[in-house]
Amino acid sequence: MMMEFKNGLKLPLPKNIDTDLTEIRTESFGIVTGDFVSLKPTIVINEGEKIRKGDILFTDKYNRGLKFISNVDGYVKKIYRGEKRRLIAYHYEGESGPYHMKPNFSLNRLDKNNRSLLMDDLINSGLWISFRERPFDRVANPDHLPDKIFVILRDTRPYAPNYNKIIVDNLNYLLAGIKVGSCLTDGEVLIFKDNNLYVDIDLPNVKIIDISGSYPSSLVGTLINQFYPLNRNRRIWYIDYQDVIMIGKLYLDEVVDRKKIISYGYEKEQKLYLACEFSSIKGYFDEIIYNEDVRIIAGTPIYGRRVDDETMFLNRYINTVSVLKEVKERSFMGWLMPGLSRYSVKNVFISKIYPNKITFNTSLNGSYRPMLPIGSYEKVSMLNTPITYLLRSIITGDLEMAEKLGVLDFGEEDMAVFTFVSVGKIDYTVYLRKILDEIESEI
Amino acid sequence: MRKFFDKLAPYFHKGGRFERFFPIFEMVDTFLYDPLIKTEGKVHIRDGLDLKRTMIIVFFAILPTAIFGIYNVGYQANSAIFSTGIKPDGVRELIFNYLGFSHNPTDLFANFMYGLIFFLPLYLVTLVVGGFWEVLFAVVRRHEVAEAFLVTSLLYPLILPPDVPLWQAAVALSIGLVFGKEVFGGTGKNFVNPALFSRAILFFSYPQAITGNEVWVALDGYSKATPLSAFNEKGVEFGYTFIDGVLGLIPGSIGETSALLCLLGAIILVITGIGSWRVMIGMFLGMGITTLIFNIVGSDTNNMFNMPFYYHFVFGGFMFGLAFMITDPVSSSMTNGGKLVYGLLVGFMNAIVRVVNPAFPEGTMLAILFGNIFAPFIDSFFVNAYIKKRSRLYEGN
Repeated sequence: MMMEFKNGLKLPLPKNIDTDLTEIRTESFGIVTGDFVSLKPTIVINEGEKIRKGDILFTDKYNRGLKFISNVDGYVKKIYRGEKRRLIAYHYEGESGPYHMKPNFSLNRLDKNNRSLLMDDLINSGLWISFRERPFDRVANPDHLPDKIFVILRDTRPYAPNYNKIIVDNLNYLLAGIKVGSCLTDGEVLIFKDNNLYVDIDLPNVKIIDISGSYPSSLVGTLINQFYPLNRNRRIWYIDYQDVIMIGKLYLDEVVDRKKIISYGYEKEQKLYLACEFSSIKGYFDEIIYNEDVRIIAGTPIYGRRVDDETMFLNRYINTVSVLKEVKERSFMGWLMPGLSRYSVKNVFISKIYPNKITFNTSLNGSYRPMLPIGSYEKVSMLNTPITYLLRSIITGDLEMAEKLGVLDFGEEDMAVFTFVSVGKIDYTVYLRKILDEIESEI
Repeated sequence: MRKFFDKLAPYFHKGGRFERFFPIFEMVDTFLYDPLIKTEGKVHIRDGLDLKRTMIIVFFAILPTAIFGIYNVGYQANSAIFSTGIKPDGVRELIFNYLGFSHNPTDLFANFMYGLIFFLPLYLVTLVVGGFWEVLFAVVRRHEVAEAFLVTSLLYPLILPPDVPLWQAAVALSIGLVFGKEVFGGTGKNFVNPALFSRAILFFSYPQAITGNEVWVALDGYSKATPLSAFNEKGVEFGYTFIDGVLGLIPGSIGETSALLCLLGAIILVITGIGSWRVMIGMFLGMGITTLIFNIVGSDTNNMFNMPFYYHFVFGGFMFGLAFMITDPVSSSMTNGGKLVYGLLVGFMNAIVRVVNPAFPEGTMLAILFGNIFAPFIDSFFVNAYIKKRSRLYEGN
């Protein structure tokens, strides 16, 4: 099956980064709770205590699958808390590396009847958190049964690593991981890939779909909206290609190897790193030090978590680290200038003709204003939903309308593209989370 | 200058002495320099287009029509004065004479200057009255002044006849702005186009100011019909050609006479992506098809039935409405399909009002207002269609 997504956001930023791989050796690790939606942590190992690979660091009160497992031999360095003692980051230090773990079943004996033992393997290895669930965009709950599992073998985010190369290099592991995933649902496993990638899978409930299109065609919200729109009675899980590879490694090699390939982008400079999950990103920058002139983002410029000293660790779900210049000067009558360096999806700047000088910085590029639907949303939207009406119902808090129009398909990241193009500079990611929480509290 | 504003800023921010007037300070400050607002949250880069830029592009798209309109007001008046010998009097005449111009319709500058003497007071009144309401609501409601007024204030005088009494224009604008826009929450929340709504208020409150044959040329005691009313009365021998309509040296509302320059504005809006080509095409087709049907049907009693359908595109306010009025994104339909239907409906209504209603041979304004009211209704068909389609997908399990 093939699907071509039209529209989308074609940012003039590099994609498919493919450079030499540098391995990051750091002893500093940290779990930033902001990456996990509505996590309610229960600390198992406290500050200063020793930890070994495979130990449970902390868990979630409501989701037994959400367990954070140590990947180092070392100790818990510091637990940062914010207002009302809310956990912000969990720092630990020590020597990381792959370690042996024997799964309950070998790959050949896997089937749906021993699903719960299989889940235990994944939870105890710390790999379970790579499955996420929609509606509501949380870590998958092992007590739920998904209708479908979406396996995404693409990444159209700016500065994303060359995913096809990573997949081809680890094809055996990927296939093994997909086999594991296929045991977790009674429904279909949908594989979304580029059509030039050849994957040979012969499993009864696996369906391969070739996708083409720019950002955000690799985001799960776009795919859900197209292939399996959600309501309160439906549920899907989704997982990213590098996580599938890790699961494959566990079953093929019987090792827990939580290394990932992480791309790094700063304007025209790009690199690829091999780094362990949750590792510090301080070692990524040769010259740039953390200062007021730049913003370091665990993620991509279009969607990611801004880091500071306490949270300078990888984003669990986005395989990219990026750096962005902070805006410092107020340009004189910028709204009147030809705009050689400004980018817009609309043809309103000279930069549409001479795109060489486009730069991005952290400027809002305007002031906060009411929603003015001049068609920017439709221009970038890949969704079937009447997008202006969906966005309007989200910002006005019209739960009923939002739900009818498919708000349950989405997570915060899916709103990034609409936040980007908004003329009134409205942050739809914030409103989306709010409305999802409200709908969930109704159920 | 930057330093001066930075020094002033603390007085207007929270806790400052003039905190209440922050919207005014913000307006002036961000007019001169781009605001220094950094992105927060998880989306770190933003599109370069903001409301200021959007509105300035619309402003520039309208500008050629406005400049030509000013010239045409002077040209029409000077021609009338030249041919009839009526001597205008009043303050305007004094200023005109003081500046050393004479009523010579072949003198470009004299035409432009005489037009300016009529347009400028109207524009200033619009700016002052409209600006007053806009800022008042911004200060009381504690939100920032939205730039959309920049466009409304230019559009409003352009859709008025040159001779309209200033106080009537001001009263209508006040009612139109407050009840058409501000009470609903201001820019982005109005359901009708505020400039058109104000004009409708003027039309119903002071019909003598905006109808009849007296008002279209800026000369008291001189009456000349607009091409549309002329056609209504006389039929094909109405005294104008298609080219006259395209170029626009004809009597009419200040900005709407030149179809060519309106088309230029429409092209600017379509290329920049700020105006929707869907509503424009819709309106064009709606008008064209309906009037073509009227042409085919024909009528012995109503001349308008026999006006060739392509004449409808170039006479009256059709082109101006198509370029600048119907494209107002807030009061238009918002789904892609809805935009097309909305355009068709407005075009169709426009033709109906023009042709079938012999008392009022112009209908763009009413048609668009009518469309504004139906816009959400049109959208609801498309939105509901999606909701239905979606719920069918759920039925599988």
